[in-house]
Amino acid sequence: MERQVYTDMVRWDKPSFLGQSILYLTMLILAVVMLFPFLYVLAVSFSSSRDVADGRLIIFPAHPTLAAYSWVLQGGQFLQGLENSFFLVGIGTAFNMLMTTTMAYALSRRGVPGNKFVLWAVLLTLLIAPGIITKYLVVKQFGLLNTLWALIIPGAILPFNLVVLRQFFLSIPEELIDSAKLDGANDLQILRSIVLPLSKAALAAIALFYAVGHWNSFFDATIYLNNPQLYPVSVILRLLVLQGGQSMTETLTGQTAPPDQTVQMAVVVLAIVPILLIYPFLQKYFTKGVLTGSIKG
Amino acid sequence: MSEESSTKIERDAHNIQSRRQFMRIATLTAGSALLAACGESQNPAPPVPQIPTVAPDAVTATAQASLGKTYFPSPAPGVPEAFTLPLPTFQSVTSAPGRGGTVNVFSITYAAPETPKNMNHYWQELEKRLNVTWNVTYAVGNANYSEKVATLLASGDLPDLFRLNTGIAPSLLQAIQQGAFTDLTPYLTGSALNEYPNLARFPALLWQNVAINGKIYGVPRPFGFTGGTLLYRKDWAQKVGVPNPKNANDFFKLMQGFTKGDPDGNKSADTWGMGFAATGIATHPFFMNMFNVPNQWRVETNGSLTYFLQTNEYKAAVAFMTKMFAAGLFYPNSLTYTGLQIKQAFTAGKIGSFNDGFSTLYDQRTKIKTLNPNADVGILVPFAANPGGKANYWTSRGFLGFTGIPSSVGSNADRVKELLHILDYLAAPTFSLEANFLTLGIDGWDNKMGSQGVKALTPTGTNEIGNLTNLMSGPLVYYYPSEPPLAPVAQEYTRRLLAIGVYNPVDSLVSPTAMKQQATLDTLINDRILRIVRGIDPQSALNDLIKQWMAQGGTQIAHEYAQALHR
Repeated sequence: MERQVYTDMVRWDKPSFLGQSILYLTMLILAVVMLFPFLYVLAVSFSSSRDVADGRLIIFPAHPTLAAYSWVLQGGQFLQGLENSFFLVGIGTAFNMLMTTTMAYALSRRGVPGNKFVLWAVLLTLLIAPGIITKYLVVKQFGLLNTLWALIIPGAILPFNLVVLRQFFLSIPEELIDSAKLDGANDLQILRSIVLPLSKAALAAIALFYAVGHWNSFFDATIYLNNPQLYPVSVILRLLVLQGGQSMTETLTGQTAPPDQTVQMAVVVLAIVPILLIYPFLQKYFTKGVLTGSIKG
Repeated sequence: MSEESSTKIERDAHNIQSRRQFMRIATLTAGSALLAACGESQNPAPPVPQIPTVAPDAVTATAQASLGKTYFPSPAPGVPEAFTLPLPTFQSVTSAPGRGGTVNVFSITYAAPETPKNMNHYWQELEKRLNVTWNVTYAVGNANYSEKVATLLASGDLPDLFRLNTGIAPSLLQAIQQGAFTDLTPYLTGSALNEYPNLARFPALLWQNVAINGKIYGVPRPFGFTGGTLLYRKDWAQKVGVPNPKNANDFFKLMQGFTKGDPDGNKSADTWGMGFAATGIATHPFFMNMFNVPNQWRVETNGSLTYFLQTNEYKAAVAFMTKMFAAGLFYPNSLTYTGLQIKQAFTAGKIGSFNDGFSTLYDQRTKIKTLNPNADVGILVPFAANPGGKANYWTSRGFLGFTGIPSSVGSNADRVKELLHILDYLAAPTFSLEANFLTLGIDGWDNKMGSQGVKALTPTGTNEIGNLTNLMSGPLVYYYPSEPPLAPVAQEYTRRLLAIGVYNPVDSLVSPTAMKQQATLDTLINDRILRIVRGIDPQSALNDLIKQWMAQGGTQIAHEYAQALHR
């Protein structure tokens, strides 16, 4: 394809060989610089205690071992945490999208009573955030304490996402909606059959924001959840890192944990891997979606 | 703190500290075993075996025979006992402490969640032995503790046993002073303390130190009175020819030897005398100790308080640190490394000494020996910097948090006694029946007999026991099954350190300004001292720092502490 493009171009528009190679070289250096930290994380996670002590934590560990991974994965807590995180990401994101799309659609239509007031109230929450204690008391009074719903329902609609989605819905031509109304469709039908199919890019981007937010939730989980069986994977991983950092006490020499850095890196890798696996499939929606709302029409 | 209560505590507790303690243990051993062999039909766990308890006379006889050979009693107040062989198992509690209800506990966890109760044999057995239903809520590590405490106190949903750590969450001091927690002084002083035999074994100093404004608000979790100590490579010290430094000059030579004398013999200049974590340089214990700097505050004869920063001794200490830095004797990465990384640098053989808690001694000896069998790690007991001077040692309070009972629960005296009996059980001394169960779980299931006849936890055991009962433990003893001779050595180190020990006079006092300003002031002091040590600022900058500290709340804090001291 490249050659085809070049043959179509006039001779003085072709990029020179020198220019091209400098460009490639710069890109290569940048790529290495960006990739290196991740490679380092990966390498350390496979290192053995011998390597850590020698201080030779380089890209290819001299004595690779799976000790850090097996230590993190033993005991089944990691899998339990994964279960909880998948619940949060799956059910939570679905709930988020349901709430956000319906509200964004309603706020984007003209003539809806209370439109301006509700939008103003939502923007107010962007400016004024509650403290931990007030939020905790509200969640407690709704009986959501110690359930995973405490991480989903409060903050089900993020004002930023709402505004972005509303802006996108505003850009859908009013004529389309009107013609559907003439055909006898009610609002829900319009939303389902016309507006949503047109907004796939924006919806994917917003859904991704929510999903990643749920996957990373840590602080709220530690505050609202008392039952350790409900901890999402981020909390489990934090506890595993803490456990690995403890010095051995005499009576507890059942098994020694691998060195702290290897455990930490294994934890990092395990936390990123699920996102990494899903991301390539959603990337095209993501890049398109990020520009949503920035250009009118 | 009232004069009469402290001497009363001291008097009562002194008896316990003596060797006759051992006779008491023996007489308390009841004939009947506490646990019955239980094998429920629907429970697939192996039946809990009958622990053979030793008859009282046999325990006493063994104890007498092993005195000085395998059992080294405490030589001075605050110094733990040392054992090179375990004692025969004895029973320290005569009956189950609980009355069958539910106990809700709030503690901090530092490990992944335990196996859920319905599959956790240890948990079920614990509930049987305590005779209560045991529910635990955790804060996730120290960082989460202050927020969790804030939400718990605000919600009013308080547990029965509340782990309090005013060091991590200073706001707790205010809550305590405002009456959120029961005053347990009447239950835990004088003859009332004897109702709880294991708690009565705690050193008297522990009860004194845990008191806030003279009142006891919780049962301390014993930890040892040692504070920061300097661990160093004894084998390197031998090699560079300074095995026994006696003053600051010797110490300087030792550090030079570590840095320039190629102590690891690998012909490359890759070792340094000392590593430190930059956030702790302002009060680096060893230098403070060499120059006799007071432990945070010094009480003057007229009753006022002087901060360590303002003393001449501190000036001398900072000057010495600067001299060491200028000579390149500090590990360069100290400026960016955390305490954990410095520890790892020591294990890796990059630095010859570093400061850490006393309990790291055993840890480091084991870790280093796996990499270098000839390595020898010891503790450098502080000596006076100049001949004719004095050295001191900054001791700690001796406990790691304390367990309080919220006032809402504490209004019922019977309930308080029940909870204290439960804490008494959890505070069982090492080698007792109860302590063996609490730390090692069910024999054959949570632990297995390892080599050399030492029991070790299985992975199942680690996951079952977790941090379920970490809010209380028995008094510290020195016993290292994998290196038995270390125990009396550790005891001797501790004896020498505590002999020159000085306590922080304001440790259990409250100053409102300090609660607000301490963190900011600490950062300010540390940053400036680091600059002086590095040579960026001259030594005279210390005077400016003192003035700044005074202006930003230091004078106020000194005044408030002085008032609290003489209340």
